Amino acid sequence: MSAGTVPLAARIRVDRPAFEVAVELDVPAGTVAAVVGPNGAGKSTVLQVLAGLERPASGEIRLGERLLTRRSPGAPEVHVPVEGRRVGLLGQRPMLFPHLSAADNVAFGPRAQGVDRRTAARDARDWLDRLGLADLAGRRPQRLSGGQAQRVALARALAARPDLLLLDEPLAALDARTAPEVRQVLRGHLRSAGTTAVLVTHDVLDAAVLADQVLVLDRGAVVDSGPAAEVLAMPRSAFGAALAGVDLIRGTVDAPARDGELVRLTTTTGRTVTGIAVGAVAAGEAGAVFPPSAVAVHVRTDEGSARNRWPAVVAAMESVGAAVRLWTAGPNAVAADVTPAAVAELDLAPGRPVELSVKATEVRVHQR
Amino acid sequence: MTTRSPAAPGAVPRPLWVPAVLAVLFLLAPLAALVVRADWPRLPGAVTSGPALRALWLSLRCGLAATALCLLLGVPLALVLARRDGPALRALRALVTLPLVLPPMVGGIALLYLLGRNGLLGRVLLDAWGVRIPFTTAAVVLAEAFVALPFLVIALEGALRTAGTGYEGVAATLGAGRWTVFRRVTLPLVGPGLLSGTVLCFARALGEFGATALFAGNYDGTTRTMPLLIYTAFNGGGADQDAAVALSLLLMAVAAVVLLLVRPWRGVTG
Repeated sequence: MSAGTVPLAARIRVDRPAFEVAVELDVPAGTVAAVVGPNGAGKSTVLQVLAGLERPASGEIRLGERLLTRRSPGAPEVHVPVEGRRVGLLGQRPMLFPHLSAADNVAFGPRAQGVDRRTAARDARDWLDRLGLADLAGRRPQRLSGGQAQRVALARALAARPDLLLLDEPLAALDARTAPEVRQVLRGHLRSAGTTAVLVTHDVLDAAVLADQVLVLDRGAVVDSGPAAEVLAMPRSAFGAALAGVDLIRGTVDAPARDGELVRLTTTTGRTVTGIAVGAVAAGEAGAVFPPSAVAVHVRTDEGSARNRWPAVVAAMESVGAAVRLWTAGPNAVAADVTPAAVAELDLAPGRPVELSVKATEVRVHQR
Repeated sequence: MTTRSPAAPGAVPRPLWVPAVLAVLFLLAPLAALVVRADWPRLPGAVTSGPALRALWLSLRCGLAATALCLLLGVPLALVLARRDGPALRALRALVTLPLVLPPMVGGIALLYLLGRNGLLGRVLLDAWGVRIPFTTAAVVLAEAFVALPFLVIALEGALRTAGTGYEGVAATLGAGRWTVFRRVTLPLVGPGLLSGTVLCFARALGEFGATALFAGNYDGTTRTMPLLIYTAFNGGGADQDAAVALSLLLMAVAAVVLLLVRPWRGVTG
């Protein structure tokens, strides 16, 4: 019954009215892949297809030895129905069966899979115990708090012993105090149970805490992917950068550089940014990444453009903790963190022309 | 100038109270007249007479059988109507509710032309197996089910649509096959809707007159249900008007008991 952990290998294409979703997903056994991206990027579509709720236009999904879906010319179509896939789903809302107690909700999966009543009940108690919910076993879902209900839903999903667990924004509907608690529970169980999982989220913390690898999806295409630490530190896509809270300027490198050397990148608008190469950077497309706190904002002068100094117009401002974050307008827009005193001194407001600068030693340039 | 307190949300505009009260009177006054008109000293005798008890017993049996038949056929039909869509299904939905607006007598005639001795199916049944349905107790059950089925289907279809398919999808991801999902998720979720639909269906079957009269006739002990007995009594055929009033009160009491038994249930998730 307790299958060893298995890897997921999926290659799917789905036609959407506006665009096509084409994703390749390789999740090693027992690891978690996070799929992030703007609203409507196709993240949920990917989960629907993995769960078997939607059929792809073409593609193949393998879970360990098992072929769950295959749709390709020349090969017979395979579509294992939802109930036969051993793919669990935990969504934004817990969706606990309202007519069953917490324990009976958790026992539902084992019961449906033919486990006898007594064993299933014992199983359910064990899961509730492990998630610290033993006291709530007899409660109806209406009498559980949001965080409790989501933990019961997690216990229910895990008790069905899925080979793959799909997490669709599992913390999005929880309040700010409950989400961290459930996040820790999730983290503990994904690590200890070693369940292979795919997580869809818009929260960088979920990706950072829960995921081993991150894929950034935009308009149906993977625009960035890699180990979570790498994607968050050196994003290659605008969304990845915004998610990680760093600035990204893309351009081309003319003169190659070795790891640690200074390298210059030129944007399509002719701006140049100099930074330190991370790994060897060959001539061609590259990205420059720096934190908003490294950007200095000045009153615009006509000194000409010094190194890493360029004119910009303030587009929007927002307070972030003790600092003020401002966004510039136009192509290669960046975020810059300044002190409230600087805002007053420079009389910063949307529409105000300014000049930005960033030290080359704060800029990391990586190949795309 | 007088200041008016702001209307509470959901408050009923004052002029609407008048027709609302009239509606209550309109519904209850005739029943009150029946209660007043009743010959109370002779009432126990009238309702425990042989014909009355036979009719009551037949009504309950046929009503329950018709309700069982409606559940057997209506639950699957409601599921199909709620879960599938398309022009054909929409047309079917309209057709299925036709008996609801049809005069029951028309239903009785239609049943006669299908299952009667010279009916489309009735002739086959008679020739092949010697089965004759019209003017038997089975005909009462069929007539009642024909008229009551749409009540159950409509109530249940609404409940199924309200419940949606979200929980069923979750159950599938937990490894439950379609039959398990239906039994352990779909049916319990629509429990209150199913119960009120069943009660409506039973009440309609209990009060059925027109279709029964034409398709099953009016034979003491086999097809004379309470409504038919009341009609017979009122027209002076073997009984008198006092008996008709007494029997009407009895039928009212049965219906009231059924409704009261179901009330608390409807509050659970309603």
